[in-house]
Amino acid sequence: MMRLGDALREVEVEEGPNGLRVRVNDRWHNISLKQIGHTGLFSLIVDNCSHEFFAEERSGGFDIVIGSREYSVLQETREKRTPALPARALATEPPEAAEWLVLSPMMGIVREICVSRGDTVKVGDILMIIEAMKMNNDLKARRSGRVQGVYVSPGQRVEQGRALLRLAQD
Amino acid sequence: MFRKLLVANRGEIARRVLRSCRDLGISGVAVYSEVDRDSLHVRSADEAYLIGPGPASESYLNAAKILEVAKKARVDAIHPGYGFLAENADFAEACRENGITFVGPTPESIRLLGDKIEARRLMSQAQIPVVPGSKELATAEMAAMAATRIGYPLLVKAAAGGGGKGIRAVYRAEELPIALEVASREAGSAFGNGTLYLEKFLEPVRHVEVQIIADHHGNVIALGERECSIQRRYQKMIEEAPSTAVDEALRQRLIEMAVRAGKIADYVNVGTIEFLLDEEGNPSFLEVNTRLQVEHPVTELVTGVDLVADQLLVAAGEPLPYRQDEIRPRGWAIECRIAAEDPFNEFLPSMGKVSFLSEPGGPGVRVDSALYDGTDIPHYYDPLIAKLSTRGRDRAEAIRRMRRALQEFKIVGVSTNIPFHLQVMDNAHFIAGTLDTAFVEKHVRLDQQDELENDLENEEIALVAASLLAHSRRKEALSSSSLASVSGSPWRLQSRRSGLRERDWGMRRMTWRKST
Repeated sequence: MMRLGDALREVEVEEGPNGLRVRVNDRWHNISLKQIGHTGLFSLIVDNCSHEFFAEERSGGFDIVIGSREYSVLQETREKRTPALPARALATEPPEAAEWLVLSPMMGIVREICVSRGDTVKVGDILMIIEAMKMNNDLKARRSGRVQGVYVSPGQRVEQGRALLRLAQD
Repeated sequence: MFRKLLVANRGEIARRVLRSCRDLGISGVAVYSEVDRDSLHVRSADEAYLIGPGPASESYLNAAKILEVAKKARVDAIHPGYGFLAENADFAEACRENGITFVGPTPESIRLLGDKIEARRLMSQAQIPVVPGSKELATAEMAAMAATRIGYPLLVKAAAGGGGKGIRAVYRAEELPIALEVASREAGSAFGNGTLYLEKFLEPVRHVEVQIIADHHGNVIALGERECSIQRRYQKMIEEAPSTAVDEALRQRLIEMAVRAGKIADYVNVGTIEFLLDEEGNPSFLEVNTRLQVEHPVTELVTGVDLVADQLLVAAGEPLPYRQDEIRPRGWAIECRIAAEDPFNEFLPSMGKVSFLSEPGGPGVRVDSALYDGTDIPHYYDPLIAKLSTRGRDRAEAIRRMRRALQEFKIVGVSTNIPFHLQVMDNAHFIAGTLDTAFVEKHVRLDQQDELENDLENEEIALVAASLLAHSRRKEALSSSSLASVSGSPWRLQSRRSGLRERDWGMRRMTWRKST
């Protein structure tokens, strides 16, 4: 299973007598893939259509650049797979904990904190607004709980993965 | 002709000059700063001399050191390229005093025309229409009076200006004092001269310039016009020759004015007479650039002239090898300035190492660059890393070839403005040739770039690509003999993070972790 943005897609790769084949959307395609030298540049021929891409490995998948656009494709194993889409559920969500940290999903600037310590939040409540790439992004609660701690303040610059809030089961 | 020539520059222009030296059998001498040791201009020269540390002020602007090297290497000429010492009259004079030919106009011409106020006065005398403006501003009161006379909006400009520095737009009277202060300070630090003047801010307007070349025998020839309206912050980004705004009658008029300007200034070597063209096609004189221009390749492509070779020819005292009526521009040429700037992030300079490079080629394509696999882009110098020019039988063909060449141009490791150029080549106004100096501001929106038509197809390809790589990783784990590793490679991929990535964020709005 490969994840590209919201879409979770199944791609099957098979090495047959006539070379590589892949199955996407229940259709099989003949493949020829060549790495160009020891670079991240690849030539890919899909059913005799020639493509070129750059690849960079990242945790859990690859960043693929075609032309001047980049696509992040994450690999997801069958075991971790959760079927419900578009439930916007993270397929790799670990079992629920009694207490958890909310981490910043991006690098940006904290614009507004909409909750304070002691507040109870419901699923979908806006916890804070983070500005990144000139866009204000709502950080919404994915799980109800009570705010135990706020670790950042408005105007603060945060890295991706920075702990923002601590919540606990109410 | 010269026996040995020193190029007092770096990057693509140093290579450009060295190439003409090779063509003419002249021995080429490079100078370089400590950070440019590996540069192509060093490697492609016959001799190379270290002149100092990275900062330009301690190397490429160090006139004394460069002259010392020139004497040590026993060169008989110095080519300054563009930028650095190219329009430095004192340097040209020092060359002369040391018996070395400065490939360019005389120090007197550089001084005269380098003072924009003096140049405006001279052109008015020669009956050439000049952009309405003021003389030197002695006091703030005088500036305010002049501004009222000229009318707003206007530009505050530095008399010693160049490269877009020391220019401020003023839309209302109350903005004038602060604009004067800022421009004066900027000009003072950039040129060592804070003298200012005012110029009417004409809009919409095109920037059209005429290339001239003059020898020591009284011949001044104009090599046609260039259109340079695609600018950002007074910096040219795309140039072409000829101009879609210039018909044959206007061309003759521009050529006649440019030649007159050259003659009244006693000009020798190459120079550029810049004009603004209003909506009715009325030209008015802007300024003279007393050097070889960055955008000279488009003139070369349509005229068939080697401007650098001819610069050397006239500097050596030879007469020009052609007459005005032999110059007949043919076809159309466009140049895109490829800069290490991130067009998706306000054109911020992008430093780093070029980890992969593949330059375009094929019919009608010319690349002037100093790039190679592993090029370090130092932060000390201009972000211009290459010039991509295409020529076609007509403008449409030149644009099609440019689009193709931009797609072929692969530079990985640093961000470049190639996506910007591609967008301009697809812009309906650009294709129609309706340009003005506010074009970029009005028509280019990189942060809201439309989804590419073939995006869905590319998504599928990306998906297949990643699946195949993942597959080969798994195989590798079993057999350890597959694709070479692509992980940990220092690739900063030149790309726009796709919209998918942003949606991907949305999906991962929250991350759940057990608190420790």
